[in-house]
Amino acid sequence: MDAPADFLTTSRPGDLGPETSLWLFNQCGGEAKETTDALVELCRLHSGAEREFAMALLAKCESWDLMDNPVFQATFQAQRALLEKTDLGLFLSAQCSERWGDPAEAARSYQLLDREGVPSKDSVLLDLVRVLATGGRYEEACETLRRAASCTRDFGYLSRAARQLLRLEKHARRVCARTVRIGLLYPYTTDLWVPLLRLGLFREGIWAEFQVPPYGTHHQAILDPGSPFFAFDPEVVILASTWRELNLPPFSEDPAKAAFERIEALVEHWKVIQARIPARIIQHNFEVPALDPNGHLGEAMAEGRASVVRKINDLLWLQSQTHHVTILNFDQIASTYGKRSWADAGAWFSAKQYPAPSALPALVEGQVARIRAGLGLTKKVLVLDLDNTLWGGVIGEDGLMGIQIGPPSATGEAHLALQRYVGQLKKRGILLAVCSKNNETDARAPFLEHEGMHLRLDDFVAFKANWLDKPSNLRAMAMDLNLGLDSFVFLDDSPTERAFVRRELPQVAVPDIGSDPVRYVEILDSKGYFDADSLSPEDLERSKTYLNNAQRQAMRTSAGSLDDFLKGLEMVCEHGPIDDHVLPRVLQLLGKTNQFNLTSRRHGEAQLRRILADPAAWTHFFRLKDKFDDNGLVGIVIAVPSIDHPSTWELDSWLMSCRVIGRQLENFMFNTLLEAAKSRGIATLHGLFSPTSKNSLVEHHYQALGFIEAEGEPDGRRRFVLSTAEGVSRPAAFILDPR
Amino acid sequence: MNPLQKLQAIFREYFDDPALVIGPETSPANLPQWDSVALVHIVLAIEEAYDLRFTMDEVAGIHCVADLLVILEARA
Repeated sequence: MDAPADFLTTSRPGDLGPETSLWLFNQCGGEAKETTDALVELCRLHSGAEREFAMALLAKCESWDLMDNPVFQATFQAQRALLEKTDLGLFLSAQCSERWGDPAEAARSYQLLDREGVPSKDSVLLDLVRVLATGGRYEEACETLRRAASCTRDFGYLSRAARQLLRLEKHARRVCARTVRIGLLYPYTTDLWVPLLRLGLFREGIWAEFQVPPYGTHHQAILDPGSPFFAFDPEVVILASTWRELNLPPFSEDPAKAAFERIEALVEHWKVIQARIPARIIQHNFEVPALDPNGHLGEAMAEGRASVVRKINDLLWLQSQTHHVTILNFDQIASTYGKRSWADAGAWFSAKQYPAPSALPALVEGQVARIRAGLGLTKKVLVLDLDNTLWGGVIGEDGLMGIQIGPPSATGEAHLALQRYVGQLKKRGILLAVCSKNNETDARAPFLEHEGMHLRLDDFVAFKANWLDKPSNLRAMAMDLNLGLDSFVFLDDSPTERAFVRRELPQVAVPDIGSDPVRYVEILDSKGYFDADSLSPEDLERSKTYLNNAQRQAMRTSAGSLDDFLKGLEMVCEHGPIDDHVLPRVLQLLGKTNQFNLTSRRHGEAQLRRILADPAAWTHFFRLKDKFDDNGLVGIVIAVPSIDHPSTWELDSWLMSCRVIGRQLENFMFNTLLEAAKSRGIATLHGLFSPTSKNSLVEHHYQALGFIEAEGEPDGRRRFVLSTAEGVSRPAAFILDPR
Repeated sequence: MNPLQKLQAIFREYFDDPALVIGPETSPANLPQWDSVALVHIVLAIEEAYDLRFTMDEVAGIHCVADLLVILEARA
C-alpha cells in the first residue's frame, strides 16, 4: 500500500470521505512540513468542508504541539496562497492567523470567506466580528454583527452573537440611530431572553437599555412608586405573562366571572403604570396550554381552562383598545412555533426557564416587531427580485412560455402564492418595487402578457430591471421615492445578491428566504417587518400617491414656472385640532418623519394624550389634497405654553411628510399658526431646531419664516424667536383653505 | 476529535476564545466565566453536537469538565 501522504496526493475530490481523510491525516501528520503538505492536499480534496472538519484538523495540529512550532508557522505561511484557494484553506488560514496574533490577516481571510455569502458559512460572521474587535475595527465589527443577527433563528448562534454585542456595547450604542429604555416584567427567568431581545433590537438600529426587576419581584416593582423600575423611567413596559399566572383550575365553575376577574387585575396594573409614567405598554396575551388533563373537554366546555383562556384573550383585545395598550400575540407565536416544543419541562423545572430556550428567538422576533411598530419604524417598501422569486425560471432564457407562474406547476403555484401575499401587503399600504438583473423589456413582458400573473405593473412604485448592481439600484430607488433605506426589505432567491446587499447596505432588511419558493411566504411572514400597530386611511392610499408623484413630476417639467405648477395642482388644505380620529396617523408621523422634522420628538400615545389634554396647548394637523390625489394627513404643529411665560408658545413639534415638500405647505402652516397665536393672545413664538443626521433640510426653516436666532443650547440645538406682532404671513396663495 | 477536544471546541465557541484550553479539572472555580447561564448554553450546545438530551439529574451533577466526560462516556 502507498504511504498515506501519497494516498492523499493521488486522490481526487470526492474519492475520500471526511472520516477516511482524517484518518490519513493522522497517519501522515505530526512533523511540521509533512502536516502542512497534507493540509494542502486536504483543502484540495475537501474544498467546501464543514466547519467541524476544519476544527478536527486544527485540534490534531494542536495535539501535535504544532501551533506554536515556528517551522510549522513558516511552512504554513509559505503555502498560504495555495491553501487560500479553497474555503477550507481560508478558514484554516484565518484560524491560524488569529492564534498567531494577527487579527488583520485573520479578518482578511474571514472576509474572503464571507464574500461567498453561503448561509452554511454564516458562522464565520461571528469569527469575523471577534477578530475585527480584537483589531480595534469596532464599526466594522458592529456592522458584521448586525448581519450575523439577521441570518438565523438558532438560539445558540444568536446567544453567542448577543454576548459579542455586550462586549461591543460602547461602540454598538453609537451606531444605533435610536435608543429605547425597556422595562421587562416577567415572573420567571429572563437571563437567556434579555440578551436576545437586545440583539434583535440592535439589528434594527435600536439600542435597548433594560430594567428587569429580580426574579419574583415584578408585583412589587409595579406597586411601589419608589421602585427602581419607575426610577428607570422606561419608555416601553413589557408585561410578559403566561397562562400559569392566570391560576385557572382545569374547570371554572363560573367561567365568565373567572375571565372577568383576571382581566380586571391586568387592567389595574396598566392603570397604575400609566398613572406614573408615559410608557407604551406591551401586554402578552395568554397561550392556551398544550397540556390539559381534560383534553378535548378543556375547550369543548365553556368551563374548561382552554375556553376561559380564549375568553380572556378576547377581552384583552377589547380592553387594550380602550386603554391604549399594545398586545403581543403570545398565543399565536407559541402556536406558530409549535406548542409541544414551545415549553421544555426540564428547563422549566430546573431553571424556571419558559418558553424553551430554542423558542426564544421566535418570541423575541414578535417583541421586536411590536417595539419597532411602536417607534414608527415599520418597514415601508418591499423590493422584489423577478426570476425565481416572483416567478419560476429565468424570463430572459426560458421566455414567456417557459416561466412558471400559477397552476398546473407546483412551483408556479408557490410563486403565485407569494404574488398574492405581496398583493395583500400592497393593499394595506406597503410599497412594492422590482429590482432585477434583466433586460427591461423581458422583465416587463410577464406583467403585460402572462395570464397567470397576479401582480401588474401598476402595483409597483419603482421598477428597476437592468444590469447595474442591486445596491446601486436600491440607493437610486430610495432617492426617487424619498424614503430611507432603513424602511426597505429586499427579497431575492440568490444568496449572493442577498449577501451583497447586506454587506453594502446594512440598513436594508434582507431575510434569508432560501431558494425554495415553497417557503418564501412563510419566511417573509415570520419576520413581521410590516407589522403595524394601527392602520390609517393614508396607508390604504399610499401606493397610489407614490405613483401619482411620478405624474406630478412630469407636470413640473412641462409647467413654465413654479407658480404655474403650484397653481395647476389645485391644492386644498384641510386642517384642525388633533383629535381621536387623526391620532393614529399623527403618532405614525411623529414616529417616522425624519427629514422635515424640526425637533424629532417621538411622542408616544401616552405622552401625546397628555399634551392634547392641556387646553392651553395648540395641536394642529394639516391634510393636503391636489388634483391628482388626497395626500392625506401630512403636517403637524404642536405648540405648548412656556412654563415661565404663559404668553409664549414653545413649538414642541413641527413636521411635514416628505412627499409634499416644495408645495409651500410649510408657509400655509405658518400662517395658520400665526393667526391662532394672535387670536389667543400669544406674544412670542419659540422655535427649536434639533439637528439629526437626516433633517438638515429644515436647518433654515425658522429664519425663512422671519424668526430671529437666539442663543442656542450647548448640545447644538438652535433656538429661534418671533414676536407675533412682527410676524408676516408667507406666500401660500395656491393652497385653498376650505374654512 | 476525542470527547475532550470536542468539548473544548464547544467551550471555545461559547466563550468566544479560540485559544481556550480545557482539561477534566476545568470548572467554574478556575474558569470564572463559567456561570449558571454559561452552563445552560454549554449543555444545549453539547446536546446539539451529540444529538442527545441530558436528564435533569445529569445536568444537576455537572460541576467540572470531568463530569461532562463521564456522562458522554456513559451515553456512548
